[in-house]
Amino acid sequence: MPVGIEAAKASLLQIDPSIEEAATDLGANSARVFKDITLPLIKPAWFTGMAYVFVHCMTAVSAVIFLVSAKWNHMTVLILAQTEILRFSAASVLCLILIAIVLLAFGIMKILIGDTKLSRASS
Amino acid sequence: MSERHLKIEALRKVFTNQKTGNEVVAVADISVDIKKGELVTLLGPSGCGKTTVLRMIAGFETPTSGTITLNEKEVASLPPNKRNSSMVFQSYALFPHLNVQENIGYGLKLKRLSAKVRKEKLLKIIDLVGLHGYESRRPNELSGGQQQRVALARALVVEPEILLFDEPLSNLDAKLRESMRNEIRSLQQRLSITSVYVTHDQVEALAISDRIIVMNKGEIEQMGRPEEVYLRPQTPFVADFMGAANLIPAEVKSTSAQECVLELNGKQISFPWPCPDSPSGAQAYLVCRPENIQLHEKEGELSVKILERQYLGSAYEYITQTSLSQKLIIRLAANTCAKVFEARQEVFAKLSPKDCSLVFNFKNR
Repeated sequence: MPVGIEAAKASLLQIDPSIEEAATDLGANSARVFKDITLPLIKPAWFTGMAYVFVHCMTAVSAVIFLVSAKWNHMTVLILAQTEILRFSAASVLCLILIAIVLLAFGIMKILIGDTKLSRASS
Repeated sequence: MSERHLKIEALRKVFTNQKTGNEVVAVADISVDIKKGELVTLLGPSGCGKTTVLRMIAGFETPTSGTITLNEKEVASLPPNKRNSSMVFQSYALFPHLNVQENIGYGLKLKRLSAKVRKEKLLKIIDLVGLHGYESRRPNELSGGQQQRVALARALVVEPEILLFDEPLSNLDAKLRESMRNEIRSLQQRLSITSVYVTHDQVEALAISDRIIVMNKGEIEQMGRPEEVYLRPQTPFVADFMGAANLIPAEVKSTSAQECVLELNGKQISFPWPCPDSPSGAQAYLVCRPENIQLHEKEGELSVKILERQYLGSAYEYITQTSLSQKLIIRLAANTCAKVFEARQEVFAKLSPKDCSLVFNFKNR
């Protein structure tokens, strides 16, 4: 999802604000502007992002299994295994750890990238 | 139909920097009346607030205070889509995913007109701007001039009460700019549509306008017909901004209803126009356009030395210096009978007193 959103965001920032202003000027309300102008313009980027995310998700498990040796256990596979034998409490704990790891990684990324607002033109 | 079509009263816009809290006054209490069918140009250097005024008329900016009345209706609080105004953008702002016909027809589609009426209006406007045969092209398949026509047609087809131009010609090359300028003007006059035109190009403003408003630092410096603004500037800023001007320091000696005697470089010269209420002894500047000064070998008001000569095609431009080392720019038509002077030659500058004017208050420069 984040990849798809970033791609769409990048193409949104590429749109000249006066194009949307022109539509408003001709009598379109904000919903109309979004439907007629903004959406068609970000469509290609949106689909590219989505396709990328889809391919990534479909191949994720196999890629990880391929990368590590057999003595390692894959966490998502473990969660699946736990739920299959109806041990939801253990699965929940593992889920929580997984979420924590992802959030931690995102947090570190955010610190490394710094203030993202700097790169955006203030209007 | 009212005489006063667009009325702007004490319009003010203050931008606040959200981080530092600094306030910048972009437009300072401007009042203008624009008549029906008139083309008024807002002229000024970048950052003088002209575009902000235009965007407030269109509704893209909300005024800090003041009113905008369009056709007896207060519009300052309405969003852009509820106002009957159309704008031609500097970047044209065409919809890149729609073809020419769809671009122009977008405003009509929003008006929920019947397909037949829409088709009629579309054909008429395409004919008017000369875009026959380009209906199914995308904006990126058009030249700059054609894109400009599409932008113009798209703004015109919705029959706005007022047409707004935001530096529409600044992306075109010099030659095309001139022809598009004439086309915009003739179209505007033919349809008699009230227009506000923003530009920083004084030649463009002089050529196209019924009235020019010269702006500087958010305030109106002078408002008037192109001839008035060019020949009778009221402030040094206007004199300097409206093309090349020589500003010669002068002292007012005596004034009457018919003439004004000034002292220039120690010489008293009479000018056949009344001084704008000034006491004798007042320091002022005489404004002379380069084309209103002649060079002569024997007679003239000021003795000058030629520093440099440049050939401009239609004219020779001489950069000269007076005995008080004040620089004077003089432009002489380069026809065959005109005498050509050489650099370092000592000659006389002959002013054309009728075409000169006087300005006071030199603190701006």
